Amino acid sequence: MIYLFGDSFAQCTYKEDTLLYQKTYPAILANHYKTKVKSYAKGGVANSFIFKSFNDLFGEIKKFNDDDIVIINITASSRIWFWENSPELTDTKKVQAAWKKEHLKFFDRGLNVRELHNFYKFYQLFMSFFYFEERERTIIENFILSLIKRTDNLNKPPIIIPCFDDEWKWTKKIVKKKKLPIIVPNLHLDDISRNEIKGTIPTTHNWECRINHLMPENHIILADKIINADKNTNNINFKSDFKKDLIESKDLETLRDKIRDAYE
Amino acid sequence: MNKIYIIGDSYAVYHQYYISFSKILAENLNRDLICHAASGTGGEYMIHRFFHLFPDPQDIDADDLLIFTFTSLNRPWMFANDPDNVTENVLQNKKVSRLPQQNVIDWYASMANLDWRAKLHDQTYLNFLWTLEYYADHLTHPIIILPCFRIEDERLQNITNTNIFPHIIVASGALETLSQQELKYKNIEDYRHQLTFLGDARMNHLFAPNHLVLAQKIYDALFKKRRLVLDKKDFQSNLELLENVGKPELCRTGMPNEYENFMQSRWEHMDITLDMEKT
Repeated sequence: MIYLFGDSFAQCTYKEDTLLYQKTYPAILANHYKTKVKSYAKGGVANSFIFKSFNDLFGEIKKFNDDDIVIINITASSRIWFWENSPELTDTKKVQAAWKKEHLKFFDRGLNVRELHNFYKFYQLFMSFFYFEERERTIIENFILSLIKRTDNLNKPPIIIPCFDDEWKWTKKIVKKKKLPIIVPNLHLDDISRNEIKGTIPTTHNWECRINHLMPENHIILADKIINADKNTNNINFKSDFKKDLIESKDLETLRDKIRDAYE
Repeated sequence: MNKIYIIGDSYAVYHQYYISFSKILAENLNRDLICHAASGTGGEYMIHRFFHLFPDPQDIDADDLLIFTFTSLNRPWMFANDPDNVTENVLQNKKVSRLPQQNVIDWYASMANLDWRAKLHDQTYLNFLWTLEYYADHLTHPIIILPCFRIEDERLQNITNTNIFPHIIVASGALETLSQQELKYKNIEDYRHQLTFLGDARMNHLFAPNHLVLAQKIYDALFKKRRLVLDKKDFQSNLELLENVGKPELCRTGMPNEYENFMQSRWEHMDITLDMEKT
């Protein structure tokens, strides 16, 4: 089994029998290993959600099978899981974007204006006064170290793919310094995703139509890199091979269908 | 010389002139006692401190003993350099001009500890137990964990009921319960007001006789393989009037004074020899 934990970089949005899904790196991995994917990833979530989804499965006695593949994204520590039933609304940008989309039906989720106000105030305070690296790094370090005993029977060490810069630096440093049996790439996913876009990346939230923020060409490369991750050096080389400048940023809004076609 | 490391909050702090369970253990086992506790701090800071002290499992010698008082995860670590600033009363003594007002801090802390979000704290402790299991791999003795508060006891019992951590002994029961039952109440209504521990002259919020009981229990768990149960029936109760223990004018935290000396004098000739006979 291939286990995926993480945010939008690992989320499997489409059903297994669709063409779109088959072009994604989880499906390519599943085909290669002739196994199935179980994804517990969800777009927009915070690390607390990712760690909880891991612990819900493997917190206690249940063990992985030796030949399982475990891939975990570590996402931005600036995301806060604020509402239990809306784990994807983790910062003010996401809440704003969701508020604009009618289909999200805030009120159906039991969220009201007061809740919204509390979130904004809380998030603002968090980022202005209460966010600091030592604590966030400690939480991530605690999770990474907790993996060692839980995954010690795996033939291939667990693969941690940080999505963003800070968390990647922390993860890399922790794993390298302590010589942990964990595979970490030498670059974060956001960098690969951004490099696909030629020009300035839009600041709005609704332009993204790539699956896992990657074009199909790079899904293939990513899957290939995971398959060939060096067990001895615990390294995946993300610094070469990935395709760059695949889309013009000015075309992003209008090329939604074309990009979707690219997967097909 | 082999060491005993003790890590946690005020239930773990150590003072050379006072009797404490950690000191009793160190003296009886002929070990150096190294304390890395910080009063008033929460769980996240405790974990941070542990990683800072022991970046690698091999930094702890195989025969060393490691004791944690698992402090509250409901005390959010909000300021990097003020880990003990956990919403109550600490700000009074600090320069706070660059910080938001106390009521803002209290509001933030209350939102951070909403009932459902408190469940996420379980994940932090669950992860930390797995981390400790990794650290304990090469240790001769299991790691001892003493829950400070009842909520931590509940949390840890929920997590560890399957005995999945063979190298860790988690006590059942909370130090808080023992601490409170030592006190006699003239008026139970004073409880909330008085028990802020601002003026608690007891070492680790316990009187010496109960330190001895606790040390014996830890010894028995480590070397006689007995269950570590902080059953209040085994500890002494009603040792002092609450209003005496909590009078700020009589005792200033951390500064030996008349009252603390009085408290100390009551126990200074106490025999702190543990029963170390093998069973």
